[in-house]
This record gives sequence, structure tokens and C-alpha cells, in this order.
Amino acid sequence: MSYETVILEKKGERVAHITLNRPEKLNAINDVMMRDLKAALQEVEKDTETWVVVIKGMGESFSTGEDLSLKWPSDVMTPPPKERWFLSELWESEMRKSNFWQYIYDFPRFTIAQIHGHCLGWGCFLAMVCRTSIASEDAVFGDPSIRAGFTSLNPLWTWKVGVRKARELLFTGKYIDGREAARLGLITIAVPKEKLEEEVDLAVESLIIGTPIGGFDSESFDMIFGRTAFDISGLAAAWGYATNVHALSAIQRRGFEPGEFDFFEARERLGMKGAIEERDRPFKELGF
Amino acid sequence: MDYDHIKYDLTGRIGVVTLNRPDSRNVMNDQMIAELDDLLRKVETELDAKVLVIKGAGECFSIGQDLSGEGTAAIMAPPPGTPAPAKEILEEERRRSRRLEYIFNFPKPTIAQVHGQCIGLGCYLAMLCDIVIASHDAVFADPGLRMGCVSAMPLWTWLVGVKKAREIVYLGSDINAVEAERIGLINLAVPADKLEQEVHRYAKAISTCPGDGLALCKESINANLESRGVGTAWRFLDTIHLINQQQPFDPDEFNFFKVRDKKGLEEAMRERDKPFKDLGF
Repeated sequence: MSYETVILEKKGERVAHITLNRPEKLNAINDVMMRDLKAALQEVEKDTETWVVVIKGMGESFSTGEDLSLKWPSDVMTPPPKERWFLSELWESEMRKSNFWQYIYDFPRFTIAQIHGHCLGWGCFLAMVCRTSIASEDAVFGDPSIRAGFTSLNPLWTWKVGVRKARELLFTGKYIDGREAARLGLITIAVPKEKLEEEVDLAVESLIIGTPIGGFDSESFDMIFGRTAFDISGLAAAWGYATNVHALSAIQRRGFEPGEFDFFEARERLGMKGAIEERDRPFKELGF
Repeated sequence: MDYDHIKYDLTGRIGVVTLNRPDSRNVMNDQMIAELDDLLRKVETELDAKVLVIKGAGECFSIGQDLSGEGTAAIMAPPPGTPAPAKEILEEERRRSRRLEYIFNFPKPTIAQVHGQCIGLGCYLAMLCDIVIASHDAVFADPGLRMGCVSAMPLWTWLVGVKKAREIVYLGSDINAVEAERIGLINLAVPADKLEQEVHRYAKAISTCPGDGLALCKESINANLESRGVGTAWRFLDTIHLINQQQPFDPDEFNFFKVRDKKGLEEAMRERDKPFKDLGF
């Protein structure tokens, strides 16, 4: 099947590649891409011959994350302060997001994120929910949500990088490069840019060669066991709680304090690019 | 706000708490902790402070609780083996751990600015903060076990992992700032002359973010630890301490408290640390 915002290709008997395909928007994720990505994965899921899925980005970046030009109602963008929303509508939207990420996290095949260029916000989520993430050393990671007053709806931050670094990253929205992301455990490894594709191919090959030893069924057991072990140690509750808190941060009904950055107001005034620039300026001046 | 043992200043949106007993290396007693508690409760509702920096006046952050036995009834249990009703000790333990949990869950981001010694309760205070930035001369340690007192800090395993946590609390030895950064105890080790500036850079950036978002972001991260059982770990420690307190020393074990009462605090500290020093710890 063909999709509007992703390309699904079979590469050989065992491997599928899903390419995020909005290069002119640096693969910013909108509602259509959310649906397309899920549909493409569901298509792969039906094809039991495919054991490995590589997720990558077309053009100069993996993904800059949420498409910040979107307007409510949208699953990607939350309602602006003072917008009238319905709890059912907001809650359903939050649950769709949470289920979307958990679907990829639980995907019953090997998933590999191949990351270059920008990998921000939801781009990081995508890197965290894949089983293996391989990035070029100069890739840029970060989740600047807090700069606009939002929390991360993904609980995996603390699981991947530990509580200290999760706080540092999420409280400042700072950007880090691929090398640092690998050091912190946000991704699996970082390699020189020109080696990226080669390294991903190598990972794919080794999974395909290694898997038949027990057969893919035994791999599935391993995946189910892995998920259960994390759920027992609290990850299941953490997904739920992160969703709640994200919904809360989305509906700041009192709006922002004077002097606090209001992304929605800035976007009206300056357009999306201008608003992002204004959002990041004070942080850039401080070296973040 | 007038306090004897701490100081509070608000610069812009950044609140700065200074542990202010420089003459005694910011040693902590009941009064300092009560003042800190009182201050935090005031700052909690004060909208001007969006981020809180905690630091020490003088040559270090803090050498921890006052071991002289004077003025520390609220922050330290009576020495192991002292006859005391279990109910009372348990209540005291609960109060102590709730006070620490309160700082841990304080609804604004907190940054510990650490230089020099950061030992025992001082180290706990830094660990409770969201972000710890230390100068290269900083030294961390939790030497309670050398005196027969179990560590009162469940966050060790969360921050540095099980293996390192065991090493740290079994030995009670010093951890330098570079090592502390490597094992995840602190966020960042910087040269001493850059410390103030670096802490300010972080505090300023964080205080630029919307306050509601910060509170929720912290809540979300702490909930992650809660769902992994950190609350249960605190509760469990309360009872471990109770058991610890009721257990007298064996006659041939080093009894810090007895030595202290006989020969003074300094000599007791020296005797406590000597066998470890001899082994290079």
C-alpha cells in the first residue's frame, strides 16, 4: 500500500524500511503521519516473513518532532490556553498518542531507528520506542517541550537516561549530539555520519542471521518477557501517569504568566518559524 | 525572612538558599533543618521563585549532621541500643523521611550547588535536588555505616545503580566530583571558578520556562520513580532504621557513641575512619 507521508518498502525477504517522507518539513510529524506510520507498521505486522523494520527519515533530518504549525483539534498539537475543549475530546486524543507510542514500543518485530540530522521531541520518542537506535554522531537530540510549557508524554526518558539526566534534559530542553545521546543511553550507538547506513545494515544482517537459531517465535517470547519485566517494575503505570500529566500541561487554562513564553500567541504574531526562534532565543543565549 | 542557620535571597526568578553556618562547615542540626523546612514551605507558594538553588556558605556545602549529640534529637535517632519505645522511634523516622521526601517532591525544580565536602545528610540534601552541579573540589560520602547506622537514603540505588550503591554505603568512603559525575550521582562537575556561573546558567534557563509546565514536568518524572517503588523504599527504610536503632553493638564492635562520650567527637571520628584510611578508603 502507498501512504501520503511515509514510504514502505520491502528490502529483501526479511526486512522492511519505513521512511518518514515530509522532507520539506524536516519530517515533522502531523496527524496524517501518525496514522500512516501506524498503518504501515500494521501492514508489516501482517507479513510474518518480515522480521526487521528500519525506520528512517527522508532528506536532511530524521524528524524535528511534532509539527508545530498544526491547530487544535489535532492529536499532535494540544489546544492553546483558553481554547474551549471537551474533556472527552482531549482525553481521547491523549490516549491515542499514548497508545500510538506504546504500539511501536511493543511492536512484535525488531525495530531499528536510523537517525541523522534533527531528532527532536517526538523524533526522540521514536528513537526511544524502537528496540535499537543508531544515529550519526552529529545528529541533534532534545525535547524542548518545556520551553513552551509542556511536559513530555513519554515516560521512557527516565528509563533510558536515568532520573538525573532526564531532569536536566527536560527542564532545560537542551540539545545534545548523537555521541552524548549514546553515552546517556538515549540511543544504542552513534557512528560517523558516512558509516550510518552501513552500521544499520550490519545490525539488520546480524539480527537476521542470529534469529533463526531459536526461530522468530522464541524472539517473540523474549520481547513479551522484556515488556512484562518492565511493566512489573512500574512502566505500565508510568505510561498512564505521563499521559495524565501531559493532558494537564496541555490545558493550562489560566494561560501563562506575564513574561512567560506563550507559543500560541507567538505563532499568531510571528508564524511558526519565528515562534520557535523566539522560544529558543533565551536558551541559546545561555548556551543551551 | 529571618533565619539563624540559613539565608534566603531572591534574584529575579531564582531563589537561593544558603546553608549559613560557615564556622562549623554548615553542620546540620534540628534548627537548620527546621528552618529549611519552614523556608521551603514559604517558597512553595511564593510565585516569584521558579527555581531554587541550594548552596553552602564558606568552605563547603555541608559536612552533614552534627554528631556531637547536641541539638539533633529530631534529625538523628538515639544511638543504636539506646532503650526507647519502638513506636516513638518509628514516628521520628517517619517524620525524618517525610521531610526528605518533601524536598524531593518540592513542586519547583531544585539545583544543588556543591563545593567542598558534601557528606551524610548534606549529601542527601544534594541527592534530593533535581540537578546537582559540583566544583572539582567537591567530595561526597555517606559514612553512616562506619558508626553502625544504616544509610537513610533510598535514592542511592536509583541514582548510581545497585553495585555502586552498595560500595558507597558499605565503605562510606569519599567520592570525588569527577567520579560522582561518571556514576550519575551528580549532573556536572566543573572547575571551582566556574561553579557559580554554571549553576546560574542552568537556573536562568529553567526559570525561563513556564512555571506550571515545570511543576508538571517534575511531577511526571517523580511519578516514574513512584511507579517503580520509591515510596515503598522510603517506608521500608523507616522500619529498617527502627530495627537498626534497637540493636545494641557487640562488645568487640567499634561503638562510635561510646568513644565520643569518653574521648570527644574529634577522637571518635579519627578512630572511626582510621581502619578505612589504613586500607586506602
